[in-house]
Amino acid sequence: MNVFSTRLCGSACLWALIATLLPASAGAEEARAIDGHKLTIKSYVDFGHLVNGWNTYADSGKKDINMLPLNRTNVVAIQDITVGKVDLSVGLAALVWWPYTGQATTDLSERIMNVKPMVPVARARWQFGDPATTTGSLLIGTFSHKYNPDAKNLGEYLYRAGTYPGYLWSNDGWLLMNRAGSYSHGFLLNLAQMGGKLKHNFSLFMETAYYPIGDFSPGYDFSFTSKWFDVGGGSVLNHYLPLRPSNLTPKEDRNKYATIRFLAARDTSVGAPIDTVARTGALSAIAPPDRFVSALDTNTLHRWTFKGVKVMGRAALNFGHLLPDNIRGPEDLRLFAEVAVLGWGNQPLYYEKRSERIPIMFGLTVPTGKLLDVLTLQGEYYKSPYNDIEIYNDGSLPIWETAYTDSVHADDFKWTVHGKKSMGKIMNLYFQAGSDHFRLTNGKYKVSSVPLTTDPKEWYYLFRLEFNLR
Amino acid sequence: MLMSRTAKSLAALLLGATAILADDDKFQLEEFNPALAVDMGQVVRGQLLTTKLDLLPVNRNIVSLSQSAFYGDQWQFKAGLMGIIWWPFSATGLQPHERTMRVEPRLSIAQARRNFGDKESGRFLAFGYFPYKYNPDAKNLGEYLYRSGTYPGLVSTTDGFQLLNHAAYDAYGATLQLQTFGGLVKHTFNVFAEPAVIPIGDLTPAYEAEVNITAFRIGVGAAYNRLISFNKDLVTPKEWDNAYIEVKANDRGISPYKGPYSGAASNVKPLARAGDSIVNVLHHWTHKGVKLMGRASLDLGRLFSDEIAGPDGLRIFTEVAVLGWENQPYYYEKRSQRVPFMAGISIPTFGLLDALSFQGEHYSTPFDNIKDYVETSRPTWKVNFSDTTSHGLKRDDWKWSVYGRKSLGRMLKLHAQVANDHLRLPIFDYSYTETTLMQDPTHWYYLIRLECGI
Repeated sequence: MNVFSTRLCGSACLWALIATLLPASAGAEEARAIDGHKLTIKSYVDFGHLVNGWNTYADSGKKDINMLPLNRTNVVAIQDITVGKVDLSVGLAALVWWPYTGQATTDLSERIMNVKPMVPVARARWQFGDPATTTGSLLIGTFSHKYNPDAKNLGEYLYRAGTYPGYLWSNDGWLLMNRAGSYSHGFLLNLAQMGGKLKHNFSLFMETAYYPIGDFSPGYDFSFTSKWFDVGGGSVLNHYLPLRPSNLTPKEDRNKYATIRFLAARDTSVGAPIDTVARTGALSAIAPPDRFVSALDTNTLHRWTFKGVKVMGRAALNFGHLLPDNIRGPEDLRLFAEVAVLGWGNQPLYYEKRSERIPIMFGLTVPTGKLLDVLTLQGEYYKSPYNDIEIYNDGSLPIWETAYTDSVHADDFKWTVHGKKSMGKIMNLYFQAGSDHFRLTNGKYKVSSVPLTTDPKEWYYLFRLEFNLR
Repeated sequence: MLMSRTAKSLAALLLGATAILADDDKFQLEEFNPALAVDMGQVVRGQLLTTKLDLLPVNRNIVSLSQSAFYGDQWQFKAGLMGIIWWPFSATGLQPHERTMRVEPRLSIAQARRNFGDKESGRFLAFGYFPYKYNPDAKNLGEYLYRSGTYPGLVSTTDGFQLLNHAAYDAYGATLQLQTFGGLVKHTFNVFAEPAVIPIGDLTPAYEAEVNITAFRIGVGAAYNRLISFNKDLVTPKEWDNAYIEVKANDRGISPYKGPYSGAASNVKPLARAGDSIVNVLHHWTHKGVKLMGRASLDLGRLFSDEIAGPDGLRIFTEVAVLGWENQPYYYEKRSQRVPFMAGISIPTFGLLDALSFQGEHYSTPFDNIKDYVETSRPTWKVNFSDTTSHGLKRDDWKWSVYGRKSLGRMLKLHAQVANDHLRLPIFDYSYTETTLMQDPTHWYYLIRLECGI
């Protein structure tokens, strides 16, 4: 079965499943009016600074970032309606933002205030099941999927992180806070058992941002929640349903791992030895050693692939029940951790050690005596020797950029502090500071190839005032 | 009503109604209407210029919020916003700006309608911004009178953003509909403004007539593209690249020539610009022109019960148009090459589907490239003068389309379309692919849409 027929059959089967399952329930509601509707209108204003940072790709003299303003304003309108077991949630938003390049540009679109239209949610959901046994829902469309409630900033690796390369991000460059979830496009089947304690999520999400666009990645994650602890795990088969399998292993020379045999300059007299030497590495980076003047032959050993498996595990201990009710917030005194493997299979050169593809997040929600709704401290350790996705970003190849440095470990540790305070039903105040995987976007849709906070001493802060108008 | 007073006022503001209307008892809001459409598909086989496109993903996610209202029996208002999640077309999609998901904000509708008589009388004046459709049988191909160009006669089946179930013209203007002979004859008078090609804002008046005789329906129409123009120099650009010139026989060794300035030899162009007497400008192409349309349909679904026939029944239909009645040199010399002809049949499915429609089209224009029209608003096709084999495109003369629809309860509809049509997609800078992506009868795409809304 070729790729096209696989995708067409897969799509048709999924739609057919919906078609056969829905009419039995939806048809009965044909004469029913809307059961519920809700219009949500929210707005927020972000204010902050990148206090200290570094832009590898800025013009000379501008790489060191000092007190870069971080401002955003957003207005969101979401309409929800429910008819029987089907509900619809659609929204529109407008984000006021400023591009950041760090480079001289005369293009106004890269300097002035921009307004970006966004769709925060556009999904249909069908709910089914018996609360006494198993309930579930099927979501289709565009929506945010979050599996780790403790990951306020760092974490949520399974869907957010890359595979090859295993990049991490804490924000998408436009929206700077509260992005610890996956903005997904596709299908999600939720099942809940044991009264909601055991949850399963079966996902089929489409690649929307990086090459090759349109590939589907099946995934599964589960969580078990009890009074004292939570555990969860999951796996995503990244690009396992590609539209064009040949696109997964690009054929250009930069994506080849090869051996080149070089020939030394020859003494042409009879009986003079023929001297050769072999060098192995990234084809575009292999250079002949001294005395060796020409390439005798080239043997391509490997082409890197986007396709790979991510796995994730997480756990949390909930000691908040030890606190008196009158001073306990709903998330107080939780200890949590999340770990992932970004690409199980090894590949030459960039992906030789699995241990270098394991980000570990850990954290604690600190009790504040109800002064704040939540105060979360998070740390992360990720000992990838690489952090530059310029080739992946601009050239769409599944490899790290190593032009500037072969090994980066100054950025192995990350930290973040996140707090929230509700002020009635109308306002929420958020605060976040950190040295995380902070990235900004230029005016041409390109997000920073290297996080702007690489060293733990490089950090930013943000305040957000959010208004719930409806 | 479901809406609170606060929402009622907000909706009234959105509709542009005054505060007076909001407080008047005659003013009634209908339900606020959100809708969602998720499109997934692929160009299975296609081509852009010399680049082959195989299994190219084509995805959209459309969010729509709209509100309707009535003021008594005479006035109806409708306003809607839309957000379309889309991805720029790129054969490779390697650079961030070529592949990154975008959101296109749009008005879906902003219309006021004044009824003459009751709402069902069929006599009304509507104005604003609204999707306009005259041929209910044209599920994909067809609807030539307003959707198609004049000079050049480009035929569209999509605006590149709304890929399916939108065989209509997004009109900006006014439409007046009247009926005579007891509803047997319907007359429609339209005035639409040009929305995209310079000079923007020119007005195109049009007239259509439709006769309904039991199972038989026939319609005709005429539109005078840009009859009312506010900048005549832009309607007929007097620039050199829009000139049809003649190089007279001479004793200076310059070969005689008659054709577009763009295709003239390099030694001719400086002479032309200098006003040399051996070069004459014979013509400047114009956007202005008359389009004609005729259509007919035969409804045989009446022979079957509703359960068998379904909403669309068994219908045989056809539509033909002339895209620019007047000939102009070089690109528009044969009127027969500006006549798209569509024919089709909608087939009963015994309740399995709401609609199943097959369409075919023949359009023998020898040109297909609209790069100059899109980028510089020149009323000409783009031609590669150094490659004359590109002038006589024949393999794309035939088009076909299959469309099906199934309702799944009140809120859900499933649409599917498989076609070789005039698919053009927007690229990262919002211009369009120069040619259609369906260059050959073996090229085709499919799209499946799940639509959700009340």
